[in-house]
Amino acid sequence: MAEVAQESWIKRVIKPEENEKFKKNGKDFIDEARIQETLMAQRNPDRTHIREIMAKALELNRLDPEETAALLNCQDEELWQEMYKVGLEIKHKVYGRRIVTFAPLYVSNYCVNNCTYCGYRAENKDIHRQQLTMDELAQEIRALVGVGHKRLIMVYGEHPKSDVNYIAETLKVAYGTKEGNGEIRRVNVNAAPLCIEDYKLLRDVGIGTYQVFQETYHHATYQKVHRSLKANYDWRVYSLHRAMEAGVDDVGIGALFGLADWKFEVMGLLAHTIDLEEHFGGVGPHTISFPRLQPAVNTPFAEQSPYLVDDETFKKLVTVIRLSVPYTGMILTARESARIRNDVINVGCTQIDASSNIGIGTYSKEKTDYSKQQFILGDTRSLDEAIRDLAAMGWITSFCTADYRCGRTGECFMGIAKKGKIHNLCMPNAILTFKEYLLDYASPETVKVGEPLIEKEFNALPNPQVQKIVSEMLDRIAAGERDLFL
Amino acid sequence: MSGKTEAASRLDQQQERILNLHQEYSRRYPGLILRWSRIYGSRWAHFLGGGAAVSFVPYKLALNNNFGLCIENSEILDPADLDIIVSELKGEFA
Repeated sequence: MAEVAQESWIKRVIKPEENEKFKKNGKDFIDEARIQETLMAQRNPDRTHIREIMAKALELNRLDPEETAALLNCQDEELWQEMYKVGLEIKHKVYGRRIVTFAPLYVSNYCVNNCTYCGYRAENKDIHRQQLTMDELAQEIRALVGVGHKRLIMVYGEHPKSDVNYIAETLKVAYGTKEGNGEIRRVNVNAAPLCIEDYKLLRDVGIGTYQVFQETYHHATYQKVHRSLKANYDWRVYSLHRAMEAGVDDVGIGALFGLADWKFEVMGLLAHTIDLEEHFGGVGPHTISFPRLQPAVNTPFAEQSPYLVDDETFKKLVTVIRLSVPYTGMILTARESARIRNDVINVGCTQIDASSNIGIGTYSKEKTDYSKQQFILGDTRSLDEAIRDLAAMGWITSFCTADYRCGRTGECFMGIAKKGKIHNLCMPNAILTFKEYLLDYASPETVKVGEPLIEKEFNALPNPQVQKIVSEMLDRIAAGERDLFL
Repeated sequence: MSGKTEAASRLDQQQERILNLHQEYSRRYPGLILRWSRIYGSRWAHFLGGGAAVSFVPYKLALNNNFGLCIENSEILDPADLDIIVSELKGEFA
């Protein structure tokens, strides 16, 4: 009976007519032949050309596919070193010396799909299935708020048990749960593609960013590794077009590196960005994610793919993404080890997760349970440890959620970011939220590293008027006020 | 029959009114930067104005549960003019 109901639900999910308006001559925007030709045409880029492209990126211009292809094909190690520096410079120019931090919260791991690389695939019987009740979710939220988190990415498998109504309810619980001085101020969602009507439901309950990763942009590979609902390439590749159409104007794209050729995937991410910008008045993705395939329980594919990306290549691909889309947020997750993260942050990443636990219901129990995890994490530092390490490297941790609470979303956010003005707001807000963290949650060791960093960044604020405002707000925070922002 | 609910029609009317008010205030107070938002829970989603302007103390006003306004440079207004705008908007949208 349950299987019949599930099959009936699956048949109702996909509404192909909602994609038609975005297609060109009935085709999607990933023109594989053209991508391959472009990569081939740029296979021997000369040094001058690479440096011209770096200069263009430094002026915060999005690169054209030919330029990205040239960077991907660069063989000159000296130029790569220059590109790493340019990546960091772009990051400083757009976002400043700060890293936004969030926690992933896995809410339900029931899934109808059978993705060969994923521990949550329906046929994996070694995974313990669980879906949080609203009470259990509130416990998880309290545990996360209790260590200082303000931002979440809530993750759901694709299943009738975790349909849009369930997701909407969980968002309400996440926003409504308080603990001491803390609360969750922005909830982003990573879930399956939805129809326009369903996206509107999530928009109405105050969603932050909606993330859907294409996993691979390569059509044949996509068909090979996906079965059931997720096998529909078009439904997924246009999912964020539909979200934008529904008024969810912050969306996040991503590719799972290790499924197909890494250069192709970077070109796919760029094509996705360009297509969104073309359809939505210059507004592309709010964030780009670039997870690497990781080992998972009873999932041999994850260790056998011929396209696994090594650490050096990973740093290069992150750098090329940074240069190709200079104004977009870039998320580096705890799939990577602390060593890799500390290195790759320095080529332009803007967001990381910390104290991550990707089992269901495990934050409140403070334990790791591999039988409930989608994959195995590389970085298991606590939030306090991660923040302390970042501070020692000169990065201030930001829990800022101001933009989407002041109408600086979508077109407005992109306009500010593309003009390199966002750091005027981001750094003051980073200082203010970091101060809150140090007062309410940090260990004495982290306070010791954090306070001098606040002072340093405060003194570096270029505008005396901003300094005055921030100074007053810091005094108010010290006196007990919270959630102050510019 | 448009098929729209009464609530949806009211939102459309309010949005239309905001478009007019945006033009009116821009004419009445040249240089004033207004950024209007649709409010969804704690999310203020941009829908009109503001451009790439960045100010440090925007005047933030929730018109009702559905719409909000940030005046990016309210300091260029005489306080009495700001009061007039606030009272007009409150009167119309509350």
